[in-house]
Amino acid sequence: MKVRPINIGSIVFKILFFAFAWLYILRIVNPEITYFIQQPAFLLGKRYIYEHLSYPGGIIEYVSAFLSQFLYFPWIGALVLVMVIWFISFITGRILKSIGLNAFNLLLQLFPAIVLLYIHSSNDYILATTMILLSSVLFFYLYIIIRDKIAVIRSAVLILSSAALFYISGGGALLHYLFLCLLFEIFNIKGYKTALIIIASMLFATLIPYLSARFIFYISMKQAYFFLLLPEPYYHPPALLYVLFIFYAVPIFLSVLKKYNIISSDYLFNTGNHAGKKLLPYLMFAIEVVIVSGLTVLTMVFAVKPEQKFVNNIRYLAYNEEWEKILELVRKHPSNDMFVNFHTARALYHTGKMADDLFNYSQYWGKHSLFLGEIVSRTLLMDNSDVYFDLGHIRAAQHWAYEAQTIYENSPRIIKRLSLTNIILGNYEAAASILGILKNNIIYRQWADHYLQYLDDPSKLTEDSLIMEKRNLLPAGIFFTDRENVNHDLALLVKENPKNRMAFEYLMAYYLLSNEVANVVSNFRYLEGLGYKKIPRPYEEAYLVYLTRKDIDRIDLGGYTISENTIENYRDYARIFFNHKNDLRAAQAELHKMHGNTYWYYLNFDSPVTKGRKLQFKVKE
Amino acid sequence: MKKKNIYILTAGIIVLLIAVFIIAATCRPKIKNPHEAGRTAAISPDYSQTVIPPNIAPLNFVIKEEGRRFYVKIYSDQGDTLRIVASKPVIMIPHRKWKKLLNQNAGNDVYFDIYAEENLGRWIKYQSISNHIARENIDSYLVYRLINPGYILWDKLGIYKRNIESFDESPVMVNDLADKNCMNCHSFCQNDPDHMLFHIRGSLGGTIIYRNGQLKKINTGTEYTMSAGVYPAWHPGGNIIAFSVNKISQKFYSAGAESIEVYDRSSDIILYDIEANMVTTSPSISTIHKESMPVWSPDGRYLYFGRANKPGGPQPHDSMMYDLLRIPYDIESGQWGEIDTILTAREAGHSISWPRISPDGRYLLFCMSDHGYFSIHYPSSDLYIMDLETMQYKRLDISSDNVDSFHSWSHNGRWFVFASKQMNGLCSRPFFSYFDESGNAHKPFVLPQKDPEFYSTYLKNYNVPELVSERIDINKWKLTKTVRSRAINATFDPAVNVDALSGATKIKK
Repeated sequence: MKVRPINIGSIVFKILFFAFAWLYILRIVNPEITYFIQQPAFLLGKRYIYEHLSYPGGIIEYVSAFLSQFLYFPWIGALVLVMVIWFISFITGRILKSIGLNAFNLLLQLFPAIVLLYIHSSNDYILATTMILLSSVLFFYLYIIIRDKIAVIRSAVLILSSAALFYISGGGALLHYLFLCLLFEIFNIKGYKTALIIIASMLFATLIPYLSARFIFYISMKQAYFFLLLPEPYYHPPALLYVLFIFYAVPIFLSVLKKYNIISSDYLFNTGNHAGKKLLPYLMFAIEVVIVSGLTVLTMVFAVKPEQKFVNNIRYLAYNEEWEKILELVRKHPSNDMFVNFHTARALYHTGKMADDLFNYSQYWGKHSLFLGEIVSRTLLMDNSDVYFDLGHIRAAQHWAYEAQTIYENSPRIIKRLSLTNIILGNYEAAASILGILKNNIIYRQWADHYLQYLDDPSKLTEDSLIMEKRNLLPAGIFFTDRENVNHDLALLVKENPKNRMAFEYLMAYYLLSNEVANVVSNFRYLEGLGYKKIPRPYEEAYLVYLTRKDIDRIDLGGYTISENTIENYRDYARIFFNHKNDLRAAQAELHKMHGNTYWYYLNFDSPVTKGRKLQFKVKE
Repeated sequence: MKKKNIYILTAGIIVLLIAVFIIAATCRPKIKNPHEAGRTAAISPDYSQTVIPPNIAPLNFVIKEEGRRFYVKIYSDQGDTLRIVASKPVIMIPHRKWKKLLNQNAGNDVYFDIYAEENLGRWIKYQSISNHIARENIDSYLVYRLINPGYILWDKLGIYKRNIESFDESPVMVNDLADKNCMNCHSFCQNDPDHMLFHIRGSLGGTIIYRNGQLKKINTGTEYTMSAGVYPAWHPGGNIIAFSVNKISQKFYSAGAESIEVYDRSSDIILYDIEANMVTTSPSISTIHKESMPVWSPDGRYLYFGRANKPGGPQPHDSMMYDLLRIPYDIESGQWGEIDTILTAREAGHSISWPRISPDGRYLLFCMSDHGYFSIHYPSSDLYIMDLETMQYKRLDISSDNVDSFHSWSHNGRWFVFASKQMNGLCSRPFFSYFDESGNAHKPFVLPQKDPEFYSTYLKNYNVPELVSERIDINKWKLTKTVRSRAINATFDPAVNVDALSGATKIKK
């Protein structure tokens, strides 16, 4: 059989397309970040399987969780995503061929792939909804294959396959499948009796989710009919996903055009045997290549939301403790995002720069960006646990991790944190239970084994520097933690362990950001014990502000002095202010230029306290 | 030979080999002169030296000893010996044979003889593990809430019923059907599944009451009560329910044995009349002090409750101490008697919580802890028993070093279940204990699971375990509809001349 050049071209183009898609996912989307954001929890063992067999859609979630594990390995993760997308594209091609649609084949076949590339550009988007689409189109393809069978057989297959699809992928997949089957049957009616039988079967099939929710499973009607396809508190499917589901009606409509000769089939459905129009197929192919390429490029340009990507990247870098990279990124792209500010503060501390360089970075949120616990929202839980863990405030870190675990039960990140905090606190039996979960995780089982060996002989924990470091920071005294007034906790941590440098610097940052200069100054007494050779510049700046207040207490600076440089800068700040006739607004530009990174500038222009800015937390759930 | 025949023959040989292998692996090993271990084998869960009901599900367990193969014999005075051979130390007892053995031997001991093959042909025999089979059955069902160990947030949770005679567990209600609302405080009237209630907290808030086949959803909060009803107690008559009303707060510890302190800023007790849809109270049970944890005597003549006295000044949250009191109540006339102090925290040296009276009215089972009442969070919480005839009380020896808390009697008074964190200090599990006629509680055992390793990695808490005599037979659909319906507002008894807020003020006429 002679292979036409267009076919070769099509194959080559598809290979290039998917190769490019793989590269895009690997380099731009970054599967590692997707894994970090989603924390897919796949566990080996019977219990995990049985849990997923106990509700419709559980199987697809199980398979998706398994595949999502590979996102941890960027190259493989990108390959897995591309393979899933390719498979959908392949099935789409088979559907097109089955319904006799040859024109626009490349475009129609790759359109779902393009849309899925767009959707998967978001690190939040879960693979399970793509798998739902895959299952429904696959079942539809299998249904088309038997279209020549008699109506009774088709009905039986329809009902049985509907039940199977519902159980495997949930009601959303079923509805999509039935929708496509209905369209197909309507436009391929072979007699009214046949149509009645088929449609009656479909109507019955639509009752499957209702009957299941009513009599079998403990799920709501919404879950029964729209599993993972409607917004949930913790997940919002993108709108483009629905476009993709509807898209599959397009080939069916086009096949109708062919069937009823609405448009001459020679132009649309014949690829090269039309005398006198030999170049037309090549022209069509070229147009399709251009359209597909253009759409792909547009996808890659617009799919990634730079701001969200930036925040995810910062969170990921923080998780991996790449503090210098965070600071570098934030210097290049200053941001008022709370997560960014929060992790910037952590990065400043871990690079030894918090005391001196706090106001070199945006402090738009003031004290609210030091901790994220003022509101209990699932998006903030583990980040908040992280900062408490840094501080050695292990109980608080553990509490936040437990709250997170109620939402993301088997998240490896959370399970690791719970394991460590329980080990640090000496709760070895609890730690063993928690580590037992992680032992069933393909990626983290070695990590779990490492710590389980310690539990057999806890005396060996002295070998683990992280455990020992955190134990040394543990507050000995018992107090009630206060997530809304974190300064109380910090003050107690410092008081109980004056060597807890992070607690001290965070406390000072809290007071600075809250305009509480008196409290800043009153804590100078800890400086010497923590080994500061000089008073950090922002503290000096606060001190000078403090001196301007009335009825102040005399503060003994000990062996420290305020640097001449700071005093000179203060004079200059005042001079600029006076030069603008004490008009702060008028002076702002010059003050920003000359002293934008000072505490004085923050006090006058950025502090939420000074500006009377009421920060309202509106959490998008 | 035709190809087809060759395939058939090959398949047959393979099947035969597999069969031989299975038979070889499972048939009784020939154990000659086993080495005596001189001790019992360590097993998990610890099903040794306990008293078990004759209707309990198989006590599957894991052998915590080394071995390449294991052989277990289970036998009693009557009936056949169960023999189990396993290549792994996970012992799954055949259900029907187990059930038959127990039924035949109520009142006798049942023995586990455990053998472990150290290396090929060399076996070690452990001393027999014995458990006693009581004559009295335990209630067939256990109802509990399953909830993750978080304190503020939740996602999936539900109230479940477990058939204790098998491993069947199924939901009573899950919050997937209730817009992810919280649900809690399930309660039954004298172990009767036809009298049940639980609360829904959230957008669909209300109290679901199921009584004699009828479901209703009530808002027990009124303008005179500080909250809707919280901790429930059914009057044995089945029409009156005592509730506490509470303003509850929680605080988290930075260190120490306890991780959280749940306390009431204020609390009182109310009664809810189901027929009249009316809330009432009394100056005796709604005072400036904190009354909570109501429970009725089995004859319905007394209401027992805990009370923490209002301090003279500011009081640390972790220092509230609850006394145990009771007050007579005449259900016909609605008249209250004089309060009687059963036991003070000062006398006991501990704070008293969760009194529950045995069905025969003789014994009072309760918790005591260093302070407070939310004892599921206190490692110091232990179980105590008081003989109401002599008013003598003692700590139950079955109490562990960790949390032993919320308990429930079986309808025959011979068993009770309690929530304990003794397995890993983190998650509460239901433990059963036999309570004999002499007032002794026997060594408890944990609710058996089909997979004996289940508890080792299961992080959900078994919350408020309640024994129920029969299966709960509520239509799921009707229950869901009720949960999602609008709550009927309860009225407040106009005859009451004090409102239920602590600091009693008169109702303005």
